[in-house]
Amino acid sequence: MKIVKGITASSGVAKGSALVIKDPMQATSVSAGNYIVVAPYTTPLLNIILLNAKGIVCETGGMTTHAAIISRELNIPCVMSAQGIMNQVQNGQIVEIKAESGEVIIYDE
Amino acid sequence: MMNNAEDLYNLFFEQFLPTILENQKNGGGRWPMPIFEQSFSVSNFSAPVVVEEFMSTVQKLNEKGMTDVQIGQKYRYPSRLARFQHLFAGRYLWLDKYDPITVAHKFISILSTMYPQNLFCQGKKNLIYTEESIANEYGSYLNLGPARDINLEIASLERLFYLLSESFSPRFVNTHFEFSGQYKVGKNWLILKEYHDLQPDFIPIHFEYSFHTVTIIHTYGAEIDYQVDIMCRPQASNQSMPEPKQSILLVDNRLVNDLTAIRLYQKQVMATMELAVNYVAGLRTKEQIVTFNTGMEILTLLSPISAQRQSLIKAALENFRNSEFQNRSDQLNAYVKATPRDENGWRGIFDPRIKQRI
Repeated sequence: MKIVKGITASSGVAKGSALVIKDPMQATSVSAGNYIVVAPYTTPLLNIILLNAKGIVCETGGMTTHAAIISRELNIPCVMSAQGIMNQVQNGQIVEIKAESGEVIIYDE
Repeated sequence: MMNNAEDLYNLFFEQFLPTILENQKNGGGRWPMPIFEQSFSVSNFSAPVVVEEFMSTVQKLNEKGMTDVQIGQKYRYPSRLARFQHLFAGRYLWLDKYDPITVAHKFISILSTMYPQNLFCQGKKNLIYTEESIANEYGSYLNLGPARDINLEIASLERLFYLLSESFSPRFVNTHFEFSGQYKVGKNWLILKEYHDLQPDFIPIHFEYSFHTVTIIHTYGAEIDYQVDIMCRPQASNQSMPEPKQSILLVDNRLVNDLTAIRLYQKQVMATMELAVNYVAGLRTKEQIVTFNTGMEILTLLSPISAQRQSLIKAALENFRNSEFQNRSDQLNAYVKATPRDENGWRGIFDPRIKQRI
């Protein structure tokens, strides 16, 4: 188990499998599921995915970037600026967001 | 009372620049969103077209005797007009036709009339209506009383409208909404969320609904922590919004408080959003992207006749096909790329009073 810390953008707790998005400029579709979006940052091209996400973790960005605003609109937990997260999480790996403390817990595969 | 255009522009810039700097904190975020910009700066081709149309339209309206207050009323939504500030980042491409400072002063003179309560969202309070006008317009709905099941369905619908708006205009996400408030009406505090232009002509998809505007009013029993910056980006220091006492839904100015109707709207908006995202994601050629982006940018202009709008898109495409213009665009991009991402650097990019040394 590893913990990556970042900035709390939207409060709450969520646990699910990581949906790792390497290129946020490419619209991607995914069937509904218990997933947490992990991305370097987000764009409106991911909105259909974000609508069904349980939470969002971004490697960069702060309180006024897209993911932060969207997560507050969607009322889901979000941690921004979780440095190094993209190199530490594999697609499908279980992650947990504890947004109040800005923690992202990465469970061993 | 501040009425000098230079003073007004200084005040505006004080509100605008932090929106760029805050967005850049922690290495992430861009505004406008960098959609389509992997390989080229799409706005460069439309910027001269938008500036020319803005200036010529305003001049014509002034010549007809229309004041800047009246012109501001025609533009209606201030944050959408405020995003014209991004045009100054590309001033190198149009300064042979218009003096950037003259454009800035005209732009700011009109924009300043659109904030009767709090000029340029100071303190991140977007108060674009008076409390009296809000009470007159919406006060009667407050007597309906709260209904939690309706509130929750409206909240779900509202999330979809936010995402829908972004899906239509992914580079300038506030093209289709204006959030304002809080307004005190009696014992209530109101936040107003206006979604508009919900069937934009630049995105050729089938809209699954028939309406064009939606207004959602949230009421609270006390003042809440709600902030909106000058680009209409909602912010809150406590990371989550409290549940409203009452939510009111107006579709094309008609009250909708029927759960079945609201749920139907949810399905329609969801389906339309998927079509919009897929359309945007399917844009492949640069000409397709320039066409789409110009359509998105000129929605703000007062150019309602579709033939006129087509001629603006054609003009942007001519810029794109012009090798000399392409060279100048590349020079501008190189200059912007080499500019440090600090306060002075951003000021140099956006402030029309600073010469771009290209």
